[in-house]
Amino acid sequence: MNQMEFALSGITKSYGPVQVLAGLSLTVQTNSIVAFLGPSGCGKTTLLSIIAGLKAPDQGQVAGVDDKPISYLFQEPRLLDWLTVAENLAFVLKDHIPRSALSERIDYYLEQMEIAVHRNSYPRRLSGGQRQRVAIARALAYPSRLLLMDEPFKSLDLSLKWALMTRFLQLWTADPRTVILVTHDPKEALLLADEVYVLSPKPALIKSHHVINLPRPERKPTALPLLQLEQQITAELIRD
Amino acid sequence: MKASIYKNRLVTISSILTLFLVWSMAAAVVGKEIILPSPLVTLTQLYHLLTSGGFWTHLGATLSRGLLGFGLSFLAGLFFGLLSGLHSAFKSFFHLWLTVIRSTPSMALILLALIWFESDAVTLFVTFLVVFPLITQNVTEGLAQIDPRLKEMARLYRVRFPTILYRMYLPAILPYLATAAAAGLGLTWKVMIAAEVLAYPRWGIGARMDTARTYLQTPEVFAWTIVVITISLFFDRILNALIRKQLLYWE
Repeated sequence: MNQMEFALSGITKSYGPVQVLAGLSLTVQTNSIVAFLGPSGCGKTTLLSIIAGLKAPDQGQVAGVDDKPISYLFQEPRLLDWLTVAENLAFVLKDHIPRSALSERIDYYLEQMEIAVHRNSYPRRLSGGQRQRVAIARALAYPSRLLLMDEPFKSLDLSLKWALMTRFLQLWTADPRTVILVTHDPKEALLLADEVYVLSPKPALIKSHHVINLPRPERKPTALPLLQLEQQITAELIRD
Repeated sequence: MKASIYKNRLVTISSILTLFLVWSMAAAVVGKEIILPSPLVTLTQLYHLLTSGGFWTHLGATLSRGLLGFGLSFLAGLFFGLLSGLHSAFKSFFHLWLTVIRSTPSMALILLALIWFESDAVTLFVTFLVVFPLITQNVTEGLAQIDPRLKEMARLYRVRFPTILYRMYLPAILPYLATAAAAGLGLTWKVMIAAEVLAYPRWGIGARMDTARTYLQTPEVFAWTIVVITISLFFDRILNALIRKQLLYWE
């Protein structure tokens, strides 16, 4: 378990005169879930883009990502309107999965995300939450080493959010990979993650780092240790 | 809904009737068939054309030249449009060429083609130069409209180029391609007839129209014009039906 997946060292990034990341350094363990918490616009998405190699840091290095396959769950679903739900999954999978296994894999993940009834629907016919579930299914079905998630459960109502987070953890346990989760919701981070980094507002620095030792089956939204940590983190976030 | 369709039909029919009425009255006022033949004379002439031997050969010649010219322009336009849309260097490179070609009067193209080529090649060459830039520019424009976030998604998931081309680029530019095809095919018939009038191929509607004009057979010029209008409307209808069926089915 304690093998390093990748490491960031001294990452800085500015857009013009505005500095968003001010020297972030950390290591991420293989097959762990690491959450970054911070106020909106603090540079969390920029951090994910840098890990994914979409953006280059001004200074510092990302070591260990190289050309590992990455799934990226964007803030918006980014589906192709002219392809059905199943075809949208096939679009990213068909170059990486044997043809014979394709359909079964698509169906499996759509079922897991409770969206299989819409496999032949076009995205425009779906609600925002349904589209996001398709995007989650796509990210999970893709055979990646790294899964980067940018506010993945944002557009979902509370009960569905809880159901899908539970389902996500089941799928992750069955097929573990390293997950980076960016969110502004402490509860989401505490329920899912092994480690939580709290970031300061622009420019983002690591304000605190928490290791969550509570086994996942015991993590309920009402579990006392989580509530205490949640209060502590919320206080940190509000202070800014 | 039904009532409004009925109403629309009524308007269309009365529009056609009015056109014929105005035409008849104008013909009666002018009183000279050689200047303005009446609808009746024109339709009689059309009937003679249809039953005469050469009609289908002339029609076939013009149709096949037009469709060949359009087809070549379409394929070349798609290819160069994709190149320019995907590589900005190509776009900058072709921009000047396309602008020059589009700014050249089609009559100038025809005259130059007459100097360079034989009559059959003239018509193809001119149609190509008129329609090809239109398709190219629409394809390039269509590609520019694709959401860059979708391109980023495809890149992150390492989707290979053929898959991106068939599943993302082509469907996304389809509305632009359809608009360009409709406009291009309409232009094809106009330019084709003009080129045939001047290039005078052995078979072809344009050549027949010029012969009729030379012998002052104005009714025949009118009759051939109706044939060309019918061709143009026919293909416009077909294309529109295809577009309606295929386009934006996902909406």
